[in-house]
Parts: sequence; structure tokens; C-alpha cells
Amino acid sequence: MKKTTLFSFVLLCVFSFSQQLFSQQVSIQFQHKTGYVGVPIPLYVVFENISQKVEPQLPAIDGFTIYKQLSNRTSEQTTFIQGKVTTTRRTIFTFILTPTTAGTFTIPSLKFKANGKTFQSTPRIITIEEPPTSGVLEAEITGTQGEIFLGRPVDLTLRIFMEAFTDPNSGITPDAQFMFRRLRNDSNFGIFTEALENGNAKVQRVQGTSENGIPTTFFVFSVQATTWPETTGTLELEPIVIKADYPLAVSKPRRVGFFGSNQPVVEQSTLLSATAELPTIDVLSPPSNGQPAWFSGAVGHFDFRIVAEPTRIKVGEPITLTMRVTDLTSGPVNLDYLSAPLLDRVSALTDSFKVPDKSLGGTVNGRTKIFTQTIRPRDDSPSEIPPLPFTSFNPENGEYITAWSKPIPIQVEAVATVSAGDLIGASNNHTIPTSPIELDGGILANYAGDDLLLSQRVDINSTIRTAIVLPPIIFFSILLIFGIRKHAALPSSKQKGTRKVATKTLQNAMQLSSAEQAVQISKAIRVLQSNATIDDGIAEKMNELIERCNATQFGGLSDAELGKDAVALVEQIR
Amino acid sequence: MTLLTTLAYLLLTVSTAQMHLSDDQKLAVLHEAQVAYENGIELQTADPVASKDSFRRAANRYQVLVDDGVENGMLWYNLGNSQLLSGNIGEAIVAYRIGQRYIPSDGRLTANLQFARSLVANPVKKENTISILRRLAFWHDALPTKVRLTIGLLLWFSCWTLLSVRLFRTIAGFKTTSIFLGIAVVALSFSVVHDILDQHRSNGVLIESEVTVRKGNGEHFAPLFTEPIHEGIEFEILEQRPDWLHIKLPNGSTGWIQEKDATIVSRKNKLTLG
Repeated sequence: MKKTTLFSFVLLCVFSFSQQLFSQQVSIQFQHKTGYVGVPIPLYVVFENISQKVEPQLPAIDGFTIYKQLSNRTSEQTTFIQGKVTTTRRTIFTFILTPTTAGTFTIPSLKFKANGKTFQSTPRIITIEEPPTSGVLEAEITGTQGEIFLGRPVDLTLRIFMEAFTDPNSGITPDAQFMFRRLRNDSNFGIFTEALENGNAKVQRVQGTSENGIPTTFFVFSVQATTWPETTGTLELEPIVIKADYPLAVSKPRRVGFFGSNQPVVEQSTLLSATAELPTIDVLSPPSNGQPAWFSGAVGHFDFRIVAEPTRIKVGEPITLTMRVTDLTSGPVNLDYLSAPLLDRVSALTDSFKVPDKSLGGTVNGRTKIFTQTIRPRDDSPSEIPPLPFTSFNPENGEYITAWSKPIPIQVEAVATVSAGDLIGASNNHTIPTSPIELDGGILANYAGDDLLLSQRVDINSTIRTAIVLPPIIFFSILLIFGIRKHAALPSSKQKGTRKVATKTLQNAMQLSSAEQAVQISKAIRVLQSNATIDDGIAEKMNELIERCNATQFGGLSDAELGKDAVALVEQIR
Repeated sequence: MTLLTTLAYLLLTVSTAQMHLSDDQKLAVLHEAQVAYENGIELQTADPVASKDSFRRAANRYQVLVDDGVENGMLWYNLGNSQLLSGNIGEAIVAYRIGQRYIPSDGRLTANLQFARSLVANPVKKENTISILRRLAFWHDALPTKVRLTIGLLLWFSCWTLLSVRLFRTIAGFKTTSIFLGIAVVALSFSVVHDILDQHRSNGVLIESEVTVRKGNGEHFAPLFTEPIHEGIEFEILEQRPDWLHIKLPNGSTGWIQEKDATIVSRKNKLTLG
């Protein structure tokens, strides 16, 4: 009973499994009913549960070029539903059909052979149109145009118009975010790039009409940017070229879920581009008519305040003026190029103070730029720092506005000096010639010429090292030679040398005849007498030997012991 | 081997192989820099913005030359002028100070450095104490290293010549002269060695308009002063840590600043052994 049941179960499983595995099918997937000339459309041929290796081909289809993708996709899916196992093995081949002309075409019934069977698809009708080439993407720039003055901002707004798209097949209308993402990265947004990267684009949905006069919806993406001209003349802006992959067919998102995208999938798209016409902007410098001497190029409306420190000084000592220039206009501000007033051209100040004539750096803090300037009283007459001007050009009425600082009271003490007149008793009426007074401040001129390229590097090279080492070597060499020579000249050294010579002479004399021997012995003893330090006993012996030598030499006497005695004497001296 | 050469050997640096400008290229860059500078001078009143641009271009060109290894005080001086007229007080002071090492007694450089320092907003005043050694060694700052080295070598040679002559004959005032020469040679040797070591001593200048000095090496440390200090203020570097410098200001205060706010005063190419 049990065996029968088990056998029946296995049979049922095998039958069920085999039943599904052998459910073979070939189909085509081609959803499109419309298309555009030149825009590829995929056609998928799906083989299900075909064990045989297949290589499907499509016949030539009127109105299309056909390209078969080399790779295919194979998948296998096993499902268990209520104990029933279903396995589906699917192989998908992709053919790219590219419409060549506009019109209505029929994808004919396609036949495929697999596992000895012939499968046939149903014909499909598709309408091909010329692709839209304009009207769905446009760009324009609005904002500052015409003439502006140097120092004023150029505010521009880029507006990108993109027609909303509704897929005729799926009925999906992608939202603004989706359409904004169609803008390609290789678009050139020029001065708007940074604002777009910072996510400062605004979107608006507007109703309008297409070029064909059909009411339609547009998405308008707008972004603002401000630039500051740095030189006068025509402002040159980077061209703005917008490119977008505008969708032609979209399908429902393939994965919807917690982590899945809920954005439609673009099945077909076309590349569109639009160029924004750049405004013509001429940057002008403020007019010279009515321009005060101290004008430093400021354009706009500014507040000007000065603080002086210290206010109690002696003649010639510095007073630091801290000048605060605050922009009073609304809107964006860039004070990087704002220069300090040219105080060295304000005669009310330069009459009493030395003022450097060089431009000042300044630090920007929000809408305020702070400059510091050092001035020095020429004498003890000034009791205040006079009101100082800061002039700016008002582009709205074309006039110069001057803001004046408040006068700052100061106390300048005279410096006691002894004049030439005091020394020579000259009268006060006498005019003493004065030398030109040198002003402080300002920088001195650059150096010029090719000498600037000459290296002033200090090289501790081999020559210098030799120069360091050689003098001591030479000195110690001289010292060594000198020492040797000096040592040789010492009496003890001389005595030693004399003895040595005398001993050698006496040794040689032993080989000679008695007369010649006497001559040599006499000579050696005389040398010893002249150089060596000898005590009295030995001196007597020397004299005795010399007499014996004379007797042998001149008296003809024979003295056999003369040589031995002379050697013994020398030994005594040692 | 003498102390000088021993120390010099210790400081031997291995230079990495790198591409350098040819002489013609250097001349061309120098010419560009000089033209840009003169152009900046001409435009200073008529078009201050364009003038600054020209000075920036000139500074950029001079910088190319110093980066290429041209070591010349006048070149650094010109770079300092270009930076100063571009409004970069800090960078200008750095360039002048490096130039001063090559031409310490140059009047123009001293005047312009003084002027640049006078432009520093709220400068930190120096301590008024000058050491006796500093006073005695006034000549150290007044003479270029090369001149001191040459004088030192001449005195070194004279010293040994005097000793050698003394071996053979009596010299009047030998003792006084030899002591004087000995002291001079030792002083000059120390002076030159000091310059070589000075390349490794760290000084810096602030290049940002406003810099907050903190009590520690992090943003979370409290500021040292009630207000930030300004571009162009010089300082001595006591310690370097990642992104932070421990500095000593001229008034003796010590604190921490971010490394990006300052430039370290140093010659890129050091005194070398040939």
C-alpha cells in the first residue's frame, strides 16, 4: 500500500514537472505602435523552453534597417505554486529596427523554427513619423543687458523650456524632475554651471502652444547667476548650449518597491539641442566729466567712515586712518575690486599731512571693505583731520556722489629742533635754504636686466673645501720641516754627529798604513776637539794622541797602538 | 675636517631630478614679467582693475622663475613688488624676506619691506629687546652670505699665513693680530653656518586677510585674541602639526593657526655642497 502511494507521488511530480518543462513557445515582443525616422526600436524574439540551439534571423522588412545584437539573454525561472513546480527557461534575442522613412508599415508575420517545430508571430502595424526637431527644447537668457558701469553686477537668468511629454502607448507623463534629468552633462551652461551644480534651479509648469499651434504644457527650468565684469568693453560670456535626450517612448518602471526606482524607463529618445542667445552688454568706465581727482573707480552708493589712531602725536609721527566703506545698495555685492579713495590727491589733507601715494589692499567683511592708511603731520599746525571724501559714481542718474567723513580732532606737538639760525644768530627774516623733504611710503622701482637670472646661491664646492683644508696642511708641513732642521742644529745633535763621523774615520783609518793612519786619526780627533763637549781628562788624552800622531807622521816613528788607543778614546767620549 | 665643512656635509640635500627652463625660456619669462609689471604701472590710475591683473600676471611670471630654481635677491624683490601691488601684502613680505637673504644690505628691498610692513592692519608690535649678541653681530644681517664666506676664507688664509711666517721670523703685534684674525674667522664661520641652518628654521607670514589665533590646534579651541590678526603679520613657527602651526608672534604671544592661512618663509633651493 505504502509503495503504491509513494510511486504514485513520484509519478505525479515527474509528470507535473515534465508537463511544464515541455511547454515550448516562441514569441516576439514589439510594443510600439509609433516611431520616428532614425530612432531605433528594439524587437525581442523570445524562445521559451527550447532545448535546441537556435539562431533566429529576421527577413528584410520594408521601411526598416535591421541589426541583430550579437549577445542574447538567457534566464531560468522556477516557481512553486500550491506544490506545483514550474520551470521556465527563456532565451531572448534582440533585433534593432531603425525606421528609414516616414509612413505606416507592417512588421510581417515572422516564422521561427525550433525543436523541429515552426512558430509564427502575428503581424504588427507601426506608424513612423519624422522626429520633432524643434519646439520641445528652447533656452533664453534674460537680465542685465545694454550698458553697465564697471563695478556693477551683471545679473542673468537662464530659462530652459522643455515640452512635457506623454507617451502615446503607455500614457505615462513624466514629471518635471524626470524631464530635468534629460539635460545632458555635455551641455555648456557657462556662468550658470555653478548655480546648477548647487541645485539652485527652479521649475515652473506653464501652459503654451507648440510650434504647430497645439496647446501643450512646458516645464520651465530657471536659474540665476551674477558675474562681475573686470574690464571695460564688450562683456564676453561663454556660449550657452543646452542638450537633452528628449524621450520619445517611455514605459512603466520595471522595479517598484522600497529600494526600486519609480521613475519611468526611457525606451526611445532623441538628442535635442538649443542655444541661448547671449545679451550684448557693454561695460563702461565712469565718465571723466565731473570726476573728482580722488575718485578710485567705485560705482554705486556707499557710506564712508574714518577712525584715526592715535590722535595725540608729535610732528612726523604716524596716524593710522582706518577707513570703512560700506555698500548701501541692495542685491549682490562684490567689493574685491573696490579701491580706497586716493587721499594723496585730497589737497585739504596733503597740505598738512604726508600721505603715501600707493594703492591700498583692504579687507572685505560682508558689505564693508576696510582700508588702512598711514599719514604723518608735516608740522604742529593741524588741529584736526579734515573731512575726507569717498566718491562713487551713481549709474542711475549718471552723477558722482561724494560721502564725506566727519572731521577728527587731533593734537600735534611740535618737535624741539635747533635751527641753523639759532647757531649763527641769524635774524628771523633771513631765509634759510631748505633741502627737499623726502616723503615716506610708496615702493621703489623694480630691478631690470638679465642680471636677475644670475644665481646668487652659495655653493660650498670642492674649491672652497680645498681652500679651508689646505692652509693648515701647508702650515703643519712647514712646521714639520722647520722642526727637523732645527733639531739637527742642536749642540747635542751636532756632537752626536761629530762622534759618528770621527768613529767612522777612525774605523777606516785602521785599514791604512801607519803614516796615513796617523793623518786620519789626527784629523778625526781635531774634529772632536772642535765640536764635542769634552772633560779635561779626555782633552789631555786627545792632546797626547795628537802628539803621537805628529811623531808618527813627521818623526817617522812607528806606533802600533795608535789606532786602538784612538778607538778607545772615542768610546770614552760616547 | 673643519666644523664648517662637517656641518655643511650634514646638510647635504639630495635634489630630485626635474625639468628646468632653458636659458632662452628664462629670458622670455623674465621679459614677460617685466612687461606685465610696466603695464600694471601704466594702468594704475586709468584702470586700477586691469592694473592689478597685470601685477598678478607679473607676479606669476616671476614666481615661475623662482620655482625653477633661479636664486637671485633682485628677482625676489621684483616678485615682492608685484605681489604688493596686486594687494597681496603677506606674499610680498615673504618674497622680500627671502630676497633679503641674498641682498641683505639692499636699500630698495629694505625700504619696500618696511613699506609692506607698514600696510599691515593692526600689526603686532615687536618686543623692544635686542640681545647683545644681535647688536654685536650687526654685520651678519648687513652682508650677504657669499660675501661673508669670501671674507671668512680670506681671513682664514691670512691666519695660517701669519702663523707660517711666524715660524721663520718675529712679527710685530703677532699676538694681537692672530687673536683678532682667529675671532673674526670663528665669527664668520658661525655666521655662515647659521645661514645654512637658518634654511631649516621656520618663519612665516600670514596671507589671509583675517586669521583667528587659537589656543590649540583645532577649531574647537577658544580664540587667543578678542579679534583676528591680519595679513602680513610675521611669526616664528614653534611646531608643525597636520593642518596647524604653533606660532610665536613678535610680541611673544604663542598660539595656533591653520596652515592654509600662512606661508612659510624659506628658499626652495638651499645652500648646497658643490
